[in-house]
Amino acid sequence: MGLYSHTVYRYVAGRLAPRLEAAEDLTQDIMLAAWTGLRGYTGEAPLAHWLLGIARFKVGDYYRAKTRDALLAFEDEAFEGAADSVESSFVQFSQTEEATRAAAILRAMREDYALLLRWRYWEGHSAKQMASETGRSEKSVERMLQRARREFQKLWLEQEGGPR
Amino acid sequence: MNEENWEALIASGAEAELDTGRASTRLQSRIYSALVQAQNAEGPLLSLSETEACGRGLCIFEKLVAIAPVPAELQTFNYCRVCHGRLLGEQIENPPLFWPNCPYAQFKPR
Repeated sequence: MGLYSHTVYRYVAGRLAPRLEAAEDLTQDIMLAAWTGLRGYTGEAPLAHWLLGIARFKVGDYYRAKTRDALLAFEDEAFEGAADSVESSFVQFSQTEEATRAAAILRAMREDYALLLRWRYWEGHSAKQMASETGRSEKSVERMLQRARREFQKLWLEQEGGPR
Repeated sequence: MNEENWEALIASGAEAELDTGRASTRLQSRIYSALVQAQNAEGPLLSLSETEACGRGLCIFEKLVAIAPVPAELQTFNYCRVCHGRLLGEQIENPPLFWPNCPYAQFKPR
């Protein structure tokens, strides 16, 4: 059990960071769901793959639940993209430094924004898929994504302006 | 940077979070407790003698029950539910559990 709980936890925590308490609760849910559904495991794939399939589904549920309400608010809101614009910037960093900084910014952002950005740009879901999974309009997903991107850019540029 | 660069940067930040280490001993203990409870909810657990026959050694407290003249239903009771070992395992990282065959001690790093 130990080995599998590490595998599942690593998968979940990487997607819910920095909310490690939520990641622990979700890992427990996943292991329980796996135990309940163990009769459905045919043994065709390694057990770890099967567990990660359940984890993927549960993490998707978490993303949906956390972004659904925020998306609803965007459906009624006028789009104010111009007000959020940030100046473009050219920075040179090593890839590792950039990734570490980007990770820190994702951790510091509003949870729903960070989840939406991960869902779209790392998990690779399209705005259309996200809209269908959350039951909201594609337009509101795109608006919130744009808002989240701007927030990310703003925090990135603020860090650049500050002491290093 | 153009939009594509920003998107790649966000993805690299998410990727960097993947190295989050191992599940804590507390989490492993909680999962173990939840799984045993779920099993217990579906029916009686194996008796202590059956458990031992299956290869899981009994802890010191279970051994005491196993040799005591108690009714059969008490042989299938989940003694971890009332043991301080479980509480320590679920609450404390790397708990001070040192007696042999305690299921919560097995999660401690070796």
